[in-house]
Amino acid sequence: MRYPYDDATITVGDDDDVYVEVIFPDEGTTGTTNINIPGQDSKGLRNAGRVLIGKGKTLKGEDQTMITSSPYNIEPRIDKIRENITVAGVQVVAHENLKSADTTPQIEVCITFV
Amino acid sequence: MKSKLYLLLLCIGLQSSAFCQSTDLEKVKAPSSPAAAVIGIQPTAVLSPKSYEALETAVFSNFIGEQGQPLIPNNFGLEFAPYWTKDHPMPIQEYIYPGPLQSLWRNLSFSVASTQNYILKDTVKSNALGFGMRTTIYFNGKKVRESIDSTLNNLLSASELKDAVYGWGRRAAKHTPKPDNTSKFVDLMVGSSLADKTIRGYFFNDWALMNTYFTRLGLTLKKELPAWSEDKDKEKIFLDSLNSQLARFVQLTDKLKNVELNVTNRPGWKLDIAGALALDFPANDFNFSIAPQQSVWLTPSYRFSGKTSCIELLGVFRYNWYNLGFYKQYFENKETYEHNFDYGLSLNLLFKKLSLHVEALGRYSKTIIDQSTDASGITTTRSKTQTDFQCIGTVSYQISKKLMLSYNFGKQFEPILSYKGTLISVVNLNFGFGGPTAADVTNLP
Repeated sequence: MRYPYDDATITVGDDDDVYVEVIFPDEGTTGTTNINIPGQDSKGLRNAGRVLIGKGKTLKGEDQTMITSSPYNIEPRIDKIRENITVAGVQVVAHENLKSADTTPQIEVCITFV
Repeated sequence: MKSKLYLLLLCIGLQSSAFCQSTDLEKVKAPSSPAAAVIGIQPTAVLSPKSYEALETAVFSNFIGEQGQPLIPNNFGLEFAPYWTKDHPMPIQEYIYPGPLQSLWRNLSFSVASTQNYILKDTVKSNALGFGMRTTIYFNGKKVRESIDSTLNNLLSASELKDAVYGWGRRAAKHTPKPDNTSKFVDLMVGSSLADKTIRGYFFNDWALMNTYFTRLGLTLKKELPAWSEDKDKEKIFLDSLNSQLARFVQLTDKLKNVELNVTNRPGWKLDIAGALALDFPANDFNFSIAPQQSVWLTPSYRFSGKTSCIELLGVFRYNWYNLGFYKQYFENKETYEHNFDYGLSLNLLFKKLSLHVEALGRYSKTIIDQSTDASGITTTRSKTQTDFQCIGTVSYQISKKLMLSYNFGKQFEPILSYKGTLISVVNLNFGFGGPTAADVTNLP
């Protein structure tokens, strides 16, 4: 199931290194994240961690950066899937769903950098 | 009597509800402690590998007396695993598949059982205690750990590809140039995907493979996706469909299921080793006790993987030694065999809440009647042997992660004092305490 989150607008400096960070708070959670950056190749992230998506000036503009993430929890005795996504230090997603409702959630968020 | 029964039921209720929301990693299993088996309060001879509970207590009773009155049970078993009394943080793979030596220590448990119904001659009841210890060794740990890693990699690779292609689909849907029909939408998405270095990396830059893959994907999506529309509501329906079609194309659900089956069921070989000693108090006097029986078990088992992972096959080899001095004194004129070898097979069918267990065992008993040595030093031994058969079925229901209700029914081996026949019909409850929680197990590397 898709979980589209509200678009976010984030202010970054031209020379700032912009990172996307993915955190899975629960044991046994893993997943993949793709960051589709305007005019560039996309960036991928497997499991939790952070990835540099570029300098602020290369990301600014009308075209949005799109994040698509698919978390999974493989520990059968954990009943939730939770994921937090932070972009340039700003938390844009705090996701939680019951595994009984959905085991393959897809989280989506679009970012406009200014 | 009624109030005592209500108290027991209340305890069960509290136990059940208190653990419903816990995140303990192990579910308690049907009781199978060596101590309970050696004093005869647990009818099954096959000892299934124990759960990771730090403490298990079992109550063996039918809860209803001979006149139909409610009965407070007086046959109890307790099993204690010292390793799990402390927190042991570890990666999830290590928790699921410890090495043989690690599993030896982790699964070591000591058990005590007591009964007030240990029958002596003329159906006199005496108090008896059982003491046991056992451990389980897991084999194939490395192989199955590699299998988990492999199925997990399969899942994540499929998921990466789905996320990346979907990302280009989202961009095509949201930004210029906007496609004006489904076919153009798919062409735009596939074209962008083929140009993406990250996606090319998933195919190791193998153009032929990549083209074949995306040609198939394009054809599937053009056939399955609804009509493209910029209308907000319809766009949502379109993207929902795109997501589910991509997930189906990369077989995401099947791959996730494979990982889950590997993680939950601990497939492969295990060997359970156990020993137990019975101690009877014939005069119900603390200062006078005799050990009438000792037993040793070897239980190899194999849990299948994949779609047949609900099946577990167990073999059993049990050696029982009976103290002839005790039996001659308290079971006059009853035939007792000193050495008893039990051998057989057992099948476990394990479902989410329900489990079924069937065991069929043969017994070969042997005892020496007399032994003499002649003048030339040749020893002549006269012995007698006997065979017997036991077949028991068990139905168990998981009331909560920490509470299991079981019912045993079948024919047991002919007891030395056959005052109730060979029919087995026993209800038992097994409570679990402690054991590893989710907090003890760290994230995947």
